[in-house]
Amino acid sequence: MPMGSHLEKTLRRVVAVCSLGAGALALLALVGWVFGNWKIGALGNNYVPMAPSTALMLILLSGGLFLHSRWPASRAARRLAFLAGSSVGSMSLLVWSQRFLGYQLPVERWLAPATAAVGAIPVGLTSPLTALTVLPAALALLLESPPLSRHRLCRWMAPTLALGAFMASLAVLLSYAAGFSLLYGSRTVPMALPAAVSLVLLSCGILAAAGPLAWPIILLEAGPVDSAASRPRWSMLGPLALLLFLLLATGIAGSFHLRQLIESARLTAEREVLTVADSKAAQIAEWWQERRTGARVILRTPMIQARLLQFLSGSAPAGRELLAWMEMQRELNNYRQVVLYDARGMPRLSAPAEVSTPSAAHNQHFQAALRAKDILTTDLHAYGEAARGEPSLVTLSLWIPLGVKPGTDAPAQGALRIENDPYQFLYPLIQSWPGSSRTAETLLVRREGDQVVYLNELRHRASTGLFLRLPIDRWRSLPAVLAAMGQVGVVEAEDYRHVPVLAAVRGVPSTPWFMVAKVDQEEVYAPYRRGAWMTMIVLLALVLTTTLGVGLLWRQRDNQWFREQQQADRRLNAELEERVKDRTIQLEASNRELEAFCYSVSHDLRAPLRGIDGWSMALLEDYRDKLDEQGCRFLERVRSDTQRMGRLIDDLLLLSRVARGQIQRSRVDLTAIAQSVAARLQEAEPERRVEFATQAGLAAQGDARLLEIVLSNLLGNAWKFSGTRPLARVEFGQTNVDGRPAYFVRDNGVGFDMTYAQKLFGAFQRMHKASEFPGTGIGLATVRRVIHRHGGRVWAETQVDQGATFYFTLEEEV
Amino acid sequence: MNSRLIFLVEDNLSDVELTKRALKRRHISNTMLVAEDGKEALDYLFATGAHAGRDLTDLPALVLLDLKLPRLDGLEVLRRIRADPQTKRLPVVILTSSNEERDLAESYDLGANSFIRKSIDFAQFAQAMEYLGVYWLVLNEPPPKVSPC
Repeated sequence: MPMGSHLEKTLRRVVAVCSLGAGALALLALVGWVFGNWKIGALGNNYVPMAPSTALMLILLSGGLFLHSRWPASRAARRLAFLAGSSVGSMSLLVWSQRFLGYQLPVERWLAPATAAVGAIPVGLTSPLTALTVLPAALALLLESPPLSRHRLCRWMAPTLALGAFMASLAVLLSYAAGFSLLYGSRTVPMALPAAVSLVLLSCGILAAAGPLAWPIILLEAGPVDSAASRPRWSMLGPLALLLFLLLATGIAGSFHLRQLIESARLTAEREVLTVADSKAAQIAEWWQERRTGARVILRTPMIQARLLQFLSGSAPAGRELLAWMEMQRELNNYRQVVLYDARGMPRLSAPAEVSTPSAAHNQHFQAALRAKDILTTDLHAYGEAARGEPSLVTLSLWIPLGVKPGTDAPAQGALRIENDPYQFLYPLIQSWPGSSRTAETLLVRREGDQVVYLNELRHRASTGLFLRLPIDRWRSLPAVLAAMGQVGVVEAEDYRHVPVLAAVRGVPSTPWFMVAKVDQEEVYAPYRRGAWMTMIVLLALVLTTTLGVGLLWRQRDNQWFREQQQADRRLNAELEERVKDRTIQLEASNRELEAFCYSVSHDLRAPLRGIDGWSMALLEDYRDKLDEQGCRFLERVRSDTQRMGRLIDDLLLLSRVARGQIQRSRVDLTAIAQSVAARLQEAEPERRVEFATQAGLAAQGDARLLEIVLSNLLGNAWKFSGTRPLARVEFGQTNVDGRPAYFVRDNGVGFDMTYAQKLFGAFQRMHKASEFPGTGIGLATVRRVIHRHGGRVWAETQVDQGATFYFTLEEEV
Repeated sequence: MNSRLIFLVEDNLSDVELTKRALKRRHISNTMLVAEDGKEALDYLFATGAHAGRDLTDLPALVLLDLKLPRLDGLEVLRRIRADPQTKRLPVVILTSSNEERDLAESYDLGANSFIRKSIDFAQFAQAMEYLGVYWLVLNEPPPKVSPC
């Protein structure tokens, strides 16, 4: 299995690298938190760091994965992996659900300072997206470790879950790569970049740990691996590299294109806010100038001054005429009110008639106006007390001193207060936005000490006019603050709502005001962001389907090949079987012939021999008186040779039967057989004194009938060749030869010359003269045949006059 | 039943002669009937063919049956004998040169009463014949006659 083991090795390496990489990233983030420098775990200045709780979960998971794959046989490692999977799974579930259920886990605040934030995003909190991605990864690890991994469904689910986690974290990672972090700018805590990288690695590792037979991985493998060495190996590397390249190229090109789109959108938006800011600033300045000019006309026209002073000094009879003039001024210039004060500050004439309750600062303004030689402007301020929660009456007053004597310190003799209503022109102007936008607004601020004061009513928050005051030192990057600090141009920052905006800031000429024209970044980028999401999802889906398609195609091709191979194999097998069948038939036929031949031999060859013997005997019995002694001896020789011939025929038949018959295996008690053979031998020659030593309890698997032939022959030989010894000894036992049991038959007989040992087991081979030891020379050939048929071997060790030992082995028990 | 009659089915005439001689010398039996093949043996026993009209109930005391016979072999003869109600109890001794285990097993399966292997040593053979005669003709109680129904 070269490819299988190769893939397995690769997978194991992938698991190790992935789990270690993921764990190292998480550990780095955690170390950063411990030493109070969480930016280590952010991998970028404007990015959120990996939360300590996330780091903890990822360390547990990657540790579990590493242990599980490194020591798959270890029970402790399996238990730890199971523990890691289950604890992280439940922890991620808790983290994810806490925002719905309204509680906060203590671990979420562990190590993380409560105040730290990246922009408006508090750091140290696990993103719900991260929790939701960690969950399937943890479940996958859980399903991959025993006892759950024994179930087929679990083994299928694990890689699926891991694949899901992989896709989710890859999408986040790609969004970072596109310079375009998902979820930034929304109210949700985004997944941190290191968390995304770590999760991509981790899910990859879990996927690889599912083994070469898991479903997405099996696509890399083709068909059964252990058959056919010459199988064509379709290289997956080429298409895979091409796919990767295409994916990368598309990704890079896409991200460039997206960046350009975003850049151009930003430029357009910038131009828009700048234009709006400039035009509005110009309009406001013009409006301001108009107000000033109107007042200045009154200040600089002696006739009007004289008439007003006359009225104040009481020398003019009635104010009817003046009131009419004031009314006319009010109407012409859209003033809210025109009021004439005398030197003591008492309102003498007012158009319209009722005078609103003066504010606390009213008197100060009046006194300042008397001393001013020129028009005094009191900036937009609340006029009178407004009920709580309602917009206050905001006003902008111009004080015109009356009866100013240039060159002296004497105060003026009265003052005319012209009250401008910002609701009439200013605020509508500010609040209007050319074109339609959901979020765009302009606002006017001024600086008061270390605060910026919002002058107008805001689009996104009620009752702000003059009430919203923000300290400069804590809102350094606020567009309004930047404007109030004198900055001109376009900035990207968060506004008073902590929402990132694109803002044009500038001062309004000849006024104490600063203009901010802004639009939410979200509105500017939203279409592209959506597009990017869509593109990414489509791209990933495309890649996935392409990969699956290619994989399936590849498998199919492979399967096709295997099918063809199988068909060829089957054809070959059928041919072989046919041939074997033919041969078997031939063999059976020849066996039958042989059997018939042997039968005939045993029957027909013996009959004439018996005749020869019988008639010889008849001669001896009936004609003994007519034969001399030599004639009788000759007839005896005829008879003994006949009998020798009979024995030869019997032995030959036995040899042939041994070679042909079926072996019927069973447990054979060799000791018992040896003892019965010995008893038979002793019975045949009761006068001989032979010591038989048979080892007890020897048993073997074999054919009982054939093994009896073996022992009869060997023991019979031992008996025969020890016949010349006064004290013969024959031994049957078992010993070990080369680690296998070998049986032996030993005698202390005449032995033989080992020079001729190779001829020992051949048919008709004899080592001794027939006159010394009778025999046919077929016995040992029969023994060898039987032993060979039992899968064993037989050999002898002997020396002349030193006795002989015959060893034999039988096939090992299967 | 002719209690002294031995029916020898044997095709080897040398064997027939020698057997006759051996039995005669030992005064076992003077009357011996010989059939040289299986067909002839059955003809005699069932009174057919050349022996048609013979008294069916007149059966020999013993059948000595060789296995290897011309025309119909010994085993088939034995099967026919055992299949017929008249002859199914007839004592049959297989007398053969064969020592094939198969023959032994099949003979006994078919109901042979005994199985004797013919030794090449004629002295031994003659001895065996003597024992046979003494046993079957003298010691052995013959089976009851099957009455025709």
